Amino acid sequence: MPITSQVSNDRNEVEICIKGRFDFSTHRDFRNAFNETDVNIDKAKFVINLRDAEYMDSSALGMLLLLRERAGGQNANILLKGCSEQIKQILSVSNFQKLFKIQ
Amino acid sequence: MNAKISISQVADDMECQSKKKSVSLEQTARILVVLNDAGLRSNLVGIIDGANRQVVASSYGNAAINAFQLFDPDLVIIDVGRRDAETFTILQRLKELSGGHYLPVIGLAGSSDEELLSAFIEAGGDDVVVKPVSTVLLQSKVTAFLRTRELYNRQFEHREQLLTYREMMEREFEVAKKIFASFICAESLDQPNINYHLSPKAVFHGDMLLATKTPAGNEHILLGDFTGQGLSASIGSLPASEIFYAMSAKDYSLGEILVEINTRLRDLLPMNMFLAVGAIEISHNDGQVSVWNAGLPNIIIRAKANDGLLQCPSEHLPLGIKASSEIDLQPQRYSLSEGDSLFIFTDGAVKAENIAKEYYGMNRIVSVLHERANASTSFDRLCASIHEFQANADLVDDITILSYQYQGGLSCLESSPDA
Repeated sequence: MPITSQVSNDRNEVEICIKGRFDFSTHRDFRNAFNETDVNIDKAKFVINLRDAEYMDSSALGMLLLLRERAGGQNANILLKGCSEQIKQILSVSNFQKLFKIQ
Repeated sequence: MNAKISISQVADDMECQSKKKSVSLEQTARILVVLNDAGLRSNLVGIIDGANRQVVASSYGNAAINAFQLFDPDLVIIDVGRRDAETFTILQRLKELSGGHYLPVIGLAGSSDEELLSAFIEAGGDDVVVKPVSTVLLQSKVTAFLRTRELYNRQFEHREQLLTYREMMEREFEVAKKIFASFICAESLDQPNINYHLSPKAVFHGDMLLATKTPAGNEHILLGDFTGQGLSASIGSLPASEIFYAMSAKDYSLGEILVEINTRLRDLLPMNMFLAVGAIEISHNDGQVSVWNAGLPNIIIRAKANDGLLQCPSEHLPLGIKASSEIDLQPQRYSLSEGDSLFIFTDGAVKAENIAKEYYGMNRIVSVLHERANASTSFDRLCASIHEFQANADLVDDITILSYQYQGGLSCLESSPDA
């Protein structure tokens, strides 16, 4: 599975790990990862672990925006973790640091 | 004679059924029995006939072919008792007539002569039952083959649907391509100081190039790149270009236009779609240029005086993500001198790959643009360099590039209608 998700015991944090290419081919898996988790979605903290992601395209950026909307838009608490230099570069061209916490 | 009577019955039946709609047709399996022996024929029909079955018997020869064409059976049982060419001719003809559909044919053999059996299978037959016919065995085989036929039919139907769907898509693709191309206002781009590369394919993948002069004599240029691919990606280019041209014609500033495009796209597009934009507004009164980079690779300004390159990185979120009240679309402002040039491109140029899967990259772009030349020559060099790097002509399709050379004060206003 290129995308796996894990919910913390207190159901307040979801970690979604992405392996390999993060592009349109992972669209359904990614949506399922945050739609089917049993958490209070408005309050939960989402951690997207991109340590093993090799590539990210603009449809992946679109998916992050969908998650942001689902998790409360302005109030969403989303951390993009383990970003490689290349992925940081893609995120910064689109100025996504204005929407997400990036590590 | 018997066969002829049967066929006319079939014709009547088929007429009735065609009025009843296909539901009943699907549920009733039609079986054609081709036998010369009248006694055995009625015997067989008795065995096979049953609920949801319709059986028609025919003698050999043309009668069999006619019966097939009228009756359009789901399965054929044919006597191969005689090892003559006629059986095989009929068999092959029936298979031909089934035209791509799977038509199971069961042979009835007088003996278990292996050569005969293998010749029958070779000629296109599907199975053989040896006489005297076991009722249970034949019934089971008929049931099994009808099941397989049903499966094939469903596959065939899906394939037909897909083919129709694809043809429809291709037609719509062609129409849409023409419509989108007309939104890229070529006449405004067709100026000696502007060079651009924008393929119809790129337009269809959501790339967009707009340029116009305002009544006050300012130039507006916008290069856009929507997320995603295909028709859905390019759909937003229609309202965006409409706003761009309508507001430019009323002398709105490009900043105001970008805010309006942002508002409209945010209302219109699903959350995961947005527009990366590079936009420049050039005032011909004073050579002031305003540059907005919202999600594109660095826009490059080259000074003619010292060949120095100034890079304008992306400073804004792409359009269509946040409400216009929450964003600040302040441009970078520079003063242009005659001969200075500007280069804007989509990330397709930066991400152009060679055979070793390396990116072309910003460094290569910068080194090409560093060489002293006018904008047009640099543009040609850049395209050639990317082309060579990719070593594959077609891939340039996903890249949109624009170069612009500032020609100084009033000379540019000549072609403006209100100047």
